[in-house]
Parts: sequence; C-alpha cells; structure tokens
Amino acid sequence: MYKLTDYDSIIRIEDGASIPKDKANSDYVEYLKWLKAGNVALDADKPTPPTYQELRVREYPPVADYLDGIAKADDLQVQRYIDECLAVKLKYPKEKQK
Amino acid sequence: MASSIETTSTTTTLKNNGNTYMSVDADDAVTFATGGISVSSLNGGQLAGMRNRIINGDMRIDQRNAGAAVTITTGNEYSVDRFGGVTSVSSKYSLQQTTTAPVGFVNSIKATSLSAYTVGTSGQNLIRHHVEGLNMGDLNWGTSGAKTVTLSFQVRSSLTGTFGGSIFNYNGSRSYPFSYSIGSADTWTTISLTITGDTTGTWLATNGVGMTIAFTLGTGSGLSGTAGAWMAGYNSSASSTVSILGTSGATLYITGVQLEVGTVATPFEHRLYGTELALCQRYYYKTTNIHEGGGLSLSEAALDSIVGLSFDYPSTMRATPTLTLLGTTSRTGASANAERVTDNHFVWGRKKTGSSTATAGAYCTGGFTLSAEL
Repeated sequence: MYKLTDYDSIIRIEDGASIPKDKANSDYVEYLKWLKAGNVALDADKPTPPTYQELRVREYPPVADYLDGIAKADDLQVQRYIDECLAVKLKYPKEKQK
Repeated sequence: MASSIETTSTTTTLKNNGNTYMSVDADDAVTFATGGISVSSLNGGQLAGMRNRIINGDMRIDQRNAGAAVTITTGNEYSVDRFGGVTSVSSKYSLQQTTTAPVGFVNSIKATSLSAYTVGTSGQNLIRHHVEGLNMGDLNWGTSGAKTVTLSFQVRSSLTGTFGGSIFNYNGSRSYPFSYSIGSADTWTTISLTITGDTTGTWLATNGVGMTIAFTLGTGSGLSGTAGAWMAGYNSSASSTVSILGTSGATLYITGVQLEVGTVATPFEHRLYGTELALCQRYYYKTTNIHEGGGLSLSEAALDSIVGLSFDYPSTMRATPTLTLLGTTSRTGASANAERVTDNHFVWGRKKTGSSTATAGAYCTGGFTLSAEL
C-alpha cells in the first residue's frame, strides 16, 4: 500500500519508505507495477491550515511603528497602530473551542 | 654470442650472450634476472586491479543485517550487500552472512533450506547478484565483438551432485544456464566456468541491470535449460540440478565470486574494505546513528528552502534512492512537510510556504537507509 505526498515522493506505508519518482529506482518500478495492477494509492495528507495566530502575525503592522509613536509622544501614530492591530484581529477571529 | 636454453633436472635457464635472463624452476616458477615484463594484457583482460566485476564477491559487507539470517519471503530481500534472494514461494529458505569460509576468505553467504519442499515446474529459488550495465558495457555483449568471461567461486554444500545457476540479461530474453559439481559434502570446492560472450540479445550498458548471475537453490524444469549454451528466453538454472530446498536443513555456502574478462580464473581479487564498502554504497547505505538538523526556512519564488535533517552520501548512488528513516522521527516548524532526495544528497524536514521566513527542525533516532538497488 502506498500514499501520495505533496512533494516529489510516494510513501510505502509498510515501512514508511519515501520512494522518489525515478524510473531507475526499483521501488518506484514496483509502485508503477502495483498501480498497473489496478491498485490506487491513498491521497496525500492534507496540509495543516495555519492557525489564527499565524495568520494574524503575518499581517500585524511592525511593532517598531508603535514604539516610534511612544518615543515621539505621537498619540495618532500609536492609535493608528492599535487600530490596524484590531482590524487584523477582526479579520482573523479566535477559533472556537472544539 | 647467441641466445641459449640450458636445462637441468630442476631448472630451465634462458641465456643471452652468456647472461641468464630467465629461469623456470621445478615448481614452474619463473624468475627474471633483470628488467621487467612488458605485456599488453593478462589472460586477455586488464593487467591488474579491479578485474572483478562482482561487488562484495567475498561477502564481507552486510550493511542490512550485520550477519543476521534473512528469511526470503517476497524475493526482494537482501542478505549481504549486492546478494539477494529470489523466490516464487515464501519462507522456504534463509540467507545469512557467515564466517564459515575457505582458506583465504573470512566470510561466505549461506543458504539454508527451512523445510523439505518440492519446487514446482515454474518455481525458482535463487541467490542473485546484479551487475550494473555501466560495469560491463566494455564486454560488448550483444555484438559480434562480445568478450569471453570467466566466472569463478568457491562453494560447499551439505549435499553432493550437480548444482546449477544461470547468467541472464535485464529482461530475461537471453540466458546461459550453467552447472557445477560438488563431489564431497561440507567441503569447499573451487569452481571455474569460462563463458563465451553472447553475440545476440540486448545487454544494457546503462545504470540498469547489465547482467544477473544466479545460483539456484531449487528451480523447476520449466525455468531450466541446457547447461553451457546461450539461449533465447529466461532460464534460471541448468536442467536436472540439485535442489537444496528438497532437504530440510540442507545448506549451500558461496564466496569468492569473481567475474573477469578472459579464459583464466585468476586468484580472487581482494580489495581493501573501504573500497569494497564504497562500491556497495552506490546501491545501499545504512546508518543507525541519530541524525538531526534545523534552521531558518526561507520561502522564495525560485526555491523554498527545506530545513531539517540533511545528509551528503559517501558515494554517489546509482539512481535516486528510496529513503527510509528509522526509529522515532519528527519534523516540526515552518508550515509544510517537505523533502528533496537526489543521487548524492537528501534533506528531510519542513519548509515555509508563502512569503517570509520560519524556523524548523527534524530528527530521526535510529538512522536511515538509502536504497538504489537494481
């Protein structure tokens, strides 16, 4: 039994071997024979979706903007940083407890 | 003064102008007084090292099993490096590296019959060795210039009689069954077979199977042919040979397998261990050490950098190998599993998808294997 992957290999389930798609590789030749016999490999594992924290981190404004606003006593700049952060949080709300 | 030949009861001496330049003693040993020998070839083959086309012919290297016995079930199992089993029925024999060996050798491969089994007409049970095409292209097999080769090996068995084997090409369309005799049980016997090169058929000179050499432990009549002649089609043994599998507990030991150009079986070519190991590692590599790695994964348009367990092979492998990690494995960080395996390097771990960077790491506690066997 085999399982596909998102990268350029096939997993042989019995021993976890990672078989490259190289026709000079005897394990890959065996896999092709197995397919030709009518067998079907399992689908690749679905990649884990990013968490809301990871999504938020990607889009938060640079924290340096906030510190710069503090250093300059620029309340507008500080508030702009806070508003942008809140907008990102709104865009990616916390996941509900399962 | 002319050249002369002088003969005594023990020595023949060749002289030139009164000076001895060559003598042959009672043991047929030749001594040259001065100078050296200039020849273009020895025994029709190359002059010195790397005569033997067989890798691990003295059965010293056993990366997979470290001397443990392997029961042949599917026919894809290997015992010592480069020597594996072929079977048409599961679990009728085992293969094992042993220290039972003739003088001048340390190891042999041992086949043991696990039951008293009658091989069917189309059954076969073999010890098999593939020679890569790149290592035999110069033999010019499949052409009118096909070179003669000599196969030699040392063998012993608990049984006596006429035993069999065969040489065949990559797709089994050409084969040369051979037979050899063991007259005394449990006694090492040296076998030498000179084989005229095959002038027809297709013999690969690529990184595929050039030729296969098989020693049978029991082959049915449907896959057996006349010994000592090339024939069309697949035969893995000569006809009417001893079946090891017919006797429970019967054994066959083989070592010192050598295949060389020419008609003479020269003494076995003992290569340095490191050299032999490197030759084996073109086809298989195993480590049992812990391996780990990690770092910063950078995602770019051209190439996502994979971070994790990374390894450069000691030998460039025959083809992109199958990678099997051993023990407990883990890869974490970044955003997706990834690996890249080539014929000289692999990295197994995680990569960052999308823009920016992330850290990742991977490990395996039991090492790994790489297989690019034929």
